[in-house]
Amino acid sequence: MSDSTIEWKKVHPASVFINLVPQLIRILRGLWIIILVLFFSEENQNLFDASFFFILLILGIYRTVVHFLTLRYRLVDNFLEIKVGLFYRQQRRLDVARIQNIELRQNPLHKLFHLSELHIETAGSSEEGLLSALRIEEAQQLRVQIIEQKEVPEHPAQQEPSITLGTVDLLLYGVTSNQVGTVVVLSAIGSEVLSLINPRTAQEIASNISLQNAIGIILISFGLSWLWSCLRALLQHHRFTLSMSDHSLQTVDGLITKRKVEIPREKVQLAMLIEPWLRRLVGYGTLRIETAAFGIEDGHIRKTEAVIPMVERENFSSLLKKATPQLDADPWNETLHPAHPKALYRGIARGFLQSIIPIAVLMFIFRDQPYAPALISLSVLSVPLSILDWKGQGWLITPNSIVSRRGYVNRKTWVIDRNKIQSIHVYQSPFMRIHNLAHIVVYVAGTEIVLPDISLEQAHENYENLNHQWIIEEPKEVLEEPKEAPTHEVSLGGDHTIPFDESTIDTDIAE
Amino acid sequence: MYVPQEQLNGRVTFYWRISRLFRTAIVFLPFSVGVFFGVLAISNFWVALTASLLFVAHRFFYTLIWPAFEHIHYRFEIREHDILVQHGVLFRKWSSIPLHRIQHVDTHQGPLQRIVGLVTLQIYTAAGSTFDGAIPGLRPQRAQELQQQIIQNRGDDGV
Repeated sequence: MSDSTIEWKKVHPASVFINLVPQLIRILRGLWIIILVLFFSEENQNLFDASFFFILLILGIYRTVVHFLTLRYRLVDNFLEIKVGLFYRQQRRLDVARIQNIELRQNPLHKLFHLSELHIETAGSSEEGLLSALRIEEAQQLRVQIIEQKEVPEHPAQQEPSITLGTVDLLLYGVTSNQVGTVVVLSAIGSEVLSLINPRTAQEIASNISLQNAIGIILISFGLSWLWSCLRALLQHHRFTLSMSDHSLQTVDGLITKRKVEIPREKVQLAMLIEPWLRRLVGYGTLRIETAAFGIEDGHIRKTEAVIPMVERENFSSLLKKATPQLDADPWNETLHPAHPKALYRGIARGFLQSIIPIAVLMFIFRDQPYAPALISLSVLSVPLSILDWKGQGWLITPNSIVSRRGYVNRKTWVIDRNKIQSIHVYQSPFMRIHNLAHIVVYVAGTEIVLPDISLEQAHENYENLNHQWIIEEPKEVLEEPKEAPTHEVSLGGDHTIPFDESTIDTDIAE
Repeated sequence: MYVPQEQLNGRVTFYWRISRLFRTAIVFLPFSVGVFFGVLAISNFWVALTASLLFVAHRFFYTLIWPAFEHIHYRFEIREHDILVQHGVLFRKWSSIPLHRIQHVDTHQGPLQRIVGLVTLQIYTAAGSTFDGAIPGLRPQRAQELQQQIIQNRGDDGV
């Protein structure tokens, strides 16, 4: 029950000045497209500069003034309540236990007025500039009040490396990356830039390219992009090592910037195994582990992902199990539920549409060539790829995990622990409606897993099953009520009886 | 499949209609003029007229008639362990948010909503920076009640 006699507190008036610059930056970030367009239009440059920035300034001042005038906050009963807004009113009640990180931040303007921002982060979101300027004493007091509920995170123990990757492994990693998209985009950009700079040269080149030369150029582009991805792989993952302990996973890599990523096991939200077809061919895959904001570490919230660039196929299952111990499914040795047959139509249609863009680009580049129109026939290639994609699709729901697999050219397998589920959604677009299909989307902290192309009935069945989990999984504070009151009393030798003890039921949890 | 019990307040269709009417007047009517001239460039007068009239008709259908359907299909229920929200006519979505994963619940009210007297409830979990579920068309008092009711439940974050 909230005590409504606790009064609301306000933000300091100086916040209008202090917030102005950050607010302007935020507005600019939101308007970047307009700025770009205006920047590239030639007429009235001077006029636009002056009036544009004037309007921007007015907007910024308006926002900071509204923020100052309307923001109210108070701490009531372990809930932090914050209200803000004039036209668009927002009100938040935040359970203090949810706050993962809380810190005092000061910029020079703050220091001038003896103020500070109280920066609050919960799992999954961090609000910028909400409590933007409080008197230092107030901020500190509030922080202390909130922090009394915090748990201290454990410090991980030391561990020894279990996987190390050498230069050869990393070169293989670079070579087996899919680079088709990059090549097409680069070629398109390159040709357009060329025709802008020197139209006549571009024309000459374009009209002189025979089919053989065209193929040669494409091959060279592929070669260059492979070289590029090898270099990147070496730079990013130089001397990669993976170490695992009981509590956490640690990866260390990097040449110029050395990166050390440490993930406590229980913070793992999602594990993903990526197998581009070339890498699959040579028997390797990439393991990627995602987490969300977790805990306080040097005063910072961290969203981290760990990437293990090369894992041998025999080790997929065991490594996955070590990274996500609750996993009770083996996506490589179990059959997954296949995609619904009707999903094939959508898959092929989608493949066609996706192939149109690269083909259009190609046709544009070679538009002066006699063989240009024939390039359309390349879209037929998308059909076998779509069929392979559809065949490779699969999903699985086990008591502890959810598995999803998609893709052929770039096969990805996602795995989550059901205990990490944040929310579940079933989604159906009108096109899916035609075939009575639906997608299931399961959110975990910071990311999601999608089970596509399931029949609607099956999707809802899964939805209900997953919902049922909430009923079984009670939050820790609630004690189990005895399933049945013992109706008989057992006497064991002496006069022991087992009475129904009412004091074990905690009744004031739900209010 | 289970249909959640509660529906939105009837005023929400009024709110949807009014807010879409605004946007139609400000954005889409000029846009339809643009469509007219755009099609005129490729084709003759009558085709252009038909195209832009179709465009306007579709927009009015969406503004005046569609909200009724959307209202029918918008349902929610706060159960013992989770919140169910279901909405959408063409693009349908069923959502289930367990109570003990909810980080916070926001009420959001734009100026037009304030005139009509409605509020939107936005439910956040640790899943992301945007809400996992939203319930528009609630009377402010009801929204407060729901907000209190939901946020009382505690549990682990699953993070």
